[in-house]
Amino acid sequence: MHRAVPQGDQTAEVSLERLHYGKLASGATLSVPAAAGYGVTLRSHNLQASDDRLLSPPRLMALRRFEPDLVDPAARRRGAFLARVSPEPDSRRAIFLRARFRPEDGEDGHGRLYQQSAVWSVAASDWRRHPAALLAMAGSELEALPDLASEAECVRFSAAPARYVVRMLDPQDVWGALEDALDKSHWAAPTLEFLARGAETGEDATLTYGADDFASEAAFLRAVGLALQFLPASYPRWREICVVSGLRHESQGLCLRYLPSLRAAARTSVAA
Amino acid sequence: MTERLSICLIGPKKGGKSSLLASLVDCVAQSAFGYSPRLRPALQPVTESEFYAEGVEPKKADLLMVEQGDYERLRRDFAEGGVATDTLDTYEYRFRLTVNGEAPPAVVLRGPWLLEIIDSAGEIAVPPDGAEVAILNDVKAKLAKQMLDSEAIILVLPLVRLEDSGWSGNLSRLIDRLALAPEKKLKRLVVVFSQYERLFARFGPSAFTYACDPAVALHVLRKSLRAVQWLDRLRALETPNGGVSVRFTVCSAYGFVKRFQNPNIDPHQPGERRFRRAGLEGARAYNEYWRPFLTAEPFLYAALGHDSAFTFSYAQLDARMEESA
Ligand SMILES: Nc1nc2c(ncn2[C@@H]2O[C@H](COP(=O)(O)OP(=O)(O)OP(=O)(O)O)[C@@H](O)[C@H]2O)c(=O)[nH]1
Ligand SMILES: [Mg+2]
Repeated sequence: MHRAVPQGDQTAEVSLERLHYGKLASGATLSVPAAAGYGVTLRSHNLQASDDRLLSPPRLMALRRFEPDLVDPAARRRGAFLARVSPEPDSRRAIFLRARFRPEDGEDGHGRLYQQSAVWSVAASDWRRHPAALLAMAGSELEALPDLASEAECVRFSAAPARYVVRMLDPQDVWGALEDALDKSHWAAPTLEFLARGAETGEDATLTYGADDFASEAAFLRAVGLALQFLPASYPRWREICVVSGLRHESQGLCLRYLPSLRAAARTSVAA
Repeated sequence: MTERLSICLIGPKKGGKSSLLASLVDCVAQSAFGYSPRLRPALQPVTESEFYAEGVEPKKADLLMVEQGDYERLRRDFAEGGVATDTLDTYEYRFRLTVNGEAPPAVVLRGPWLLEIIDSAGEIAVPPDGAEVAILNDVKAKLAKQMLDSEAIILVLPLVRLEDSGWSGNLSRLIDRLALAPEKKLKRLVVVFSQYERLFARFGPSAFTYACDPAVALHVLRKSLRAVQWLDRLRALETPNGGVSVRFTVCSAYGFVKRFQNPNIDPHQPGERRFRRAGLEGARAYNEYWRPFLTAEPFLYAALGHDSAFTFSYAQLDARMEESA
């Protein structure tokens, strides 16, 4: 556990609750033993079993059912990614989700596929304050890996929440970086315009970026993080913002999306 | 007159429920069943709104139309090696069934039938014995209600992996609960052993000939059921006041290779896959060789209550058992 130690820059500590849904695995390639079935395999101790329903992947993705063909082919290995305020009314939490389909007979196997996902839950106010840092962190560290069959249940269900220290960004620096992006990149203007128009119209919309816009999910999350960090505290539709990568499904609300196998000319802004 | 009925697929995980359903429409289309070909059944996926609409007209066959329905997806997943059904919900697939040919008047005068077939993860209804499986309460409750509201249940069990049946205790308990439930609508229950083609792996091109003999299937069923502790529990459903007709059958979603007649498992592919035509993508790659085997049987019996050469009653199983005793 880290402590928040201000060192020149202002920092803050963010606490992440964790939940895994999938199957237990074992061995070097993490294959699923015959006895292992679907279930919540890890739940940090501040989450209740009654939260499982609220944190179920299809619900967070606003889907009836999560299916393999909804994952962008170029995102199959790590899975789709999603960040948003949890959909229940007046929710006080934001969630980050990584979900994928992996073979039951191990990482490079050829067998039947099953669904494996990992969720982080943070205070909605932390997401509001630190979108850039949280997107960067979740993008790099949130993995849909199965838990080990060898690990005792009492350990998996009493896991401590993860704690991270994030640096408070100076609004001046954020604006500086964004100004720079407005000059040198393609994404900054359309993204800010999309968010501004979303606030005006109040309609559901999705802005999709592809491989020509960003070389990687990490680059996309960095860009979107910067844009969200720039939004004023009074931005009216913050709770409806949804950041998505690798998912071929349009969420509700205001959705900023990256599809790594999408090529030029296909980029669209769609009102759902 | 249009008749709507619900059928629940139940059985342990990895038992073959989703594969059975995924191969159903192809099996009917290829007449790869043990009913008389003159029955000429036709089966077509329909949407939820078509299912609930009043007078349902058959859709015009449009070969160019790209079907993006749930069933199409299930078929594609099956072609790509299968997906373990998740435990976050239960999943309904809907079909329109007609019988166009010769059938006993009791069958012909009814119909068309609108079938709602419910697939779910094996962990929900038949979890592994001793394992504390945490399933969302509302999903468990939904499936329990669907089972009670179903006119038929199809119990899918893997034929050759029966030895690691670490679920038979829970299956017995499920059958007991069903037998005791007073409010159930259940009329028919079919026990189907999946992956039947595996038994004939060493028979090469003779495999299909043996598999097509109902006497072989009856023998296999008797042998498989001999040591099964839930068999007598199931009988309680059928007793005069139980009111359920129980049938036993076998099937194979992979089936046997067209023309070559050997079991349809390609030894040269990693994993356990069907033979496929090189250079083609998706389901089309399999079509040249794929003929499923009897996967229509459980559904047609569940819907029509009409026996095929491969559906066996307790009376048929018992007759031979007495003979050999
Ligand atoms: N050899 C052979 N294998 C089959 C056949 N049908 C299904 N399988 C395999 O058996 C495994 C399980 O099949 P599923 O249809 O996914 O089983 P299920 O009962 O739906 O399982 P859950 O969704 O986990 O409850 C898959 O890996 C299939 O490829 C068959 O006819 N022959
Ligand atoms: Mg299944």
